[in-house]
Amino acid sequence: MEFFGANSPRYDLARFGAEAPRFSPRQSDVLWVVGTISQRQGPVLKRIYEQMAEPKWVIAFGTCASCGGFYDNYATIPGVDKVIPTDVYIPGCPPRPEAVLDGLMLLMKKIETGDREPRVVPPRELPEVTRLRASRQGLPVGAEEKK
Amino acid sequence: MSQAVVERLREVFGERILETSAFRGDDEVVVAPSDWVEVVTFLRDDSETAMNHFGDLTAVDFPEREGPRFDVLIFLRSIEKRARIRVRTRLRDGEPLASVSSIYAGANWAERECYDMFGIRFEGHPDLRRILLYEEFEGHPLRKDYPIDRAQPIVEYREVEGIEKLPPFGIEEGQPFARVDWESRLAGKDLQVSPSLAVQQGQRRMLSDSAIAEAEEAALESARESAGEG
Amino acid sequence: MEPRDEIVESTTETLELPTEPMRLVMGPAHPAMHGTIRMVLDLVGETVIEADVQPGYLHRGFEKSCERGTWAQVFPYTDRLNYVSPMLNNVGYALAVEKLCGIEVPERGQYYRVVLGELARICDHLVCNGAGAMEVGAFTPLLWLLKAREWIFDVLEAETGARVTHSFGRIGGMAKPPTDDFAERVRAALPKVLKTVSEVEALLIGNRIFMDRTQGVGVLPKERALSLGATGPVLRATGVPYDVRKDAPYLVYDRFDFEVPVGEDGDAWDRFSVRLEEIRQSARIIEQALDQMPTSGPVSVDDPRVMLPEKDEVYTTIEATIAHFKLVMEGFKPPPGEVYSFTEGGNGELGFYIVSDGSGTPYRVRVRPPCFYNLQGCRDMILGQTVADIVPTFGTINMIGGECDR
Repeated sequence: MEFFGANSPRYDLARFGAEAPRFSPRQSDVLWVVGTISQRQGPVLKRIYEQMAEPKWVIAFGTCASCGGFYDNYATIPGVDKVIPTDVYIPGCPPRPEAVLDGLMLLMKKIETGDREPRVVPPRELPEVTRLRASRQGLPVGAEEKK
Repeated sequence: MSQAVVERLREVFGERILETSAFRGDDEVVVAPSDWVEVVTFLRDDSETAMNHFGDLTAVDFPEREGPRFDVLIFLRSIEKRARIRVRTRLRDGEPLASVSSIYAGANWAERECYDMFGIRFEGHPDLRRILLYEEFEGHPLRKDYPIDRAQPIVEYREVEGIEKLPPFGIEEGQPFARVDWESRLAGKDLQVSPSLAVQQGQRRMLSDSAIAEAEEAALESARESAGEG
Repeated sequence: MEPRDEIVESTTETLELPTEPMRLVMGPAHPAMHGTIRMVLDLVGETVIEADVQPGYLHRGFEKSCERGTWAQVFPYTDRLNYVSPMLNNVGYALAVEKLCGIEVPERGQYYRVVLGELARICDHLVCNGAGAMEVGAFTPLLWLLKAREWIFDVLEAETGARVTHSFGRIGGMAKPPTDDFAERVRAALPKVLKTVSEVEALLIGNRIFMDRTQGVGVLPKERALSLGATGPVLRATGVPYDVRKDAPYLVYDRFDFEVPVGEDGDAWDRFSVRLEEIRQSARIIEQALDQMPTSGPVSVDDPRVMLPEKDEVYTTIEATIAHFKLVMEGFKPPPGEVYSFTEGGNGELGFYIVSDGSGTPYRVRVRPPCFYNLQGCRDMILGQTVADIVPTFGTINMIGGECDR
């Protein structure tokens, strides 16, 4: 459902040129695996992946797709990477649309630099924290408190 | 829920209504499996009950109970009378129950689900096959003796290093205090599992028999090698 | 497959040459199927003569998972049952456990549940109608309705801290009392949402293409719908005014003045219109609820056996620490018994049948999934229709995979 959210006018996935879902895996470059993959869905997912033409990338959308999440039981596959190689993991249950955008940008960066290692979208930090971190750079830990 | 329906059933079926209850206002009658179809048909066709709206059909597993193991329940509702009733029957393991899918079309999938999850067979069902799980699946997961984490993958997992579940997504992700290990409980052992025991059990379960055999063989091999060297 | 000449001859006079039925598999990863479902269809030309609808591709073991945690640990799972209107599921489950224990939530908490639940219902209908319209080619309504959904999400996020999966319900109340400007924010968001809905209505109602794609398509007769156990908009579209909020009022629904919209033919158009009208009725309920809602007072029961103590007390007093530890680690223990509690979910009667053996772990949690029974009617709806009609039919059933397959 948050995939809809990311596509919605507020977050607008189209800004990154990724708004058009292809209706066939044969024409696609990126496979978004959205949601829990059950054991029953496993062969289907594998087949879709195999149908895609190279080069191809896979984004695991959400905790359930990344590692199974709290569906730790007989019915689910603990992560799509048990079935197909995955490039980007987006944590969150479901991920916020901002994290989805981050994931897409991370994938773009990976493609640009030729990085084939799987990556996890890092958490965003509050701007204040970033500022604080920047202001503290170069200072020994705890220096501010001493003043 | 309506007491009038229960009264009406009592009136018509008499002794064949084995029990009635109204816990928290949920009216319920218990019938024998042999009366199942007759009672349900009566509830639909009788003008005083007129239960024309199918609600739900499900089962509960009581492996520790004396006597029949499963409870099968059907929830019915009347649009005109605004009444509800729950009919229950008790089944032994392996005992089939007559299907009501010809009476209520909605029972078709519900009975398939019951068969899928509990292994209860419904006689006269037009198409009794698994609905939520796949044909290759063995066992019935909602039975208490089916361990929750016994997965039966139909697609081979990739073997790449470093893709195992990392903490906090370990085997003990759930809550050990409240967790009941039904396997050992039914075997007459611990009622409550200690966390470390649960981890061990989980790990043992994850290693399939063949994997254990392989590991043992490898251990033997290395023992032989070291003996040969010595 | 065996040729079926007799069917070909009897059903289609317009066919020039007899053809063999073709088997077409739709799904489980079909772009027009927003939900993982597989349909095996036998076609003569474009007409569906036999269909096998196969759910189960999102079966995640909900009912089994509930049997291993505490009663409170079921809430996150209920969120993910119907991930379009999670708040309704939260409240539905909480009501079931409260019925089992005989707990009555304070009035303010009940109003709070009503408002949040109706907001979730609006979200559900917005997404369903938007996606349904998108699948028959109208992309703009989807974008507009998603925009409206974001305004509701803003309110829900400010209240609960999460956009979709709130886990905000608690047994005996809600996790937090409403924020100070809750009522103002809801009152500010609602007119914007209703305006967008009217704009979308103007785009679609009266649009010849949309009418042709939905009117007379996917018809489910009334008697059949009842026998199938259909509920919610699918049943109401056939003309049966069955709404749990009216039929067996729970929470404080008996204090509101609202209507239950019904359709006539039970086709895709009616289901679409019923949902559209329900958005307006939900808005009416919310307005009345906000007016009647007490501005102060507790939202949860004051019972230390059920509710977690306040956080600052946990950190400062030993009694609260112990109570917190016991509740979290062992869970609270409802009396042994079995109840069936039902509420009006986004798609119909959402029932929870729970069995307690008196321990801190649920013995059995059975959810009566409205989608499951609505979807069962899908076969009846699409038989005799063309392949293209499956898309609007399926879209207006609003099958939610998480709930249907659990």
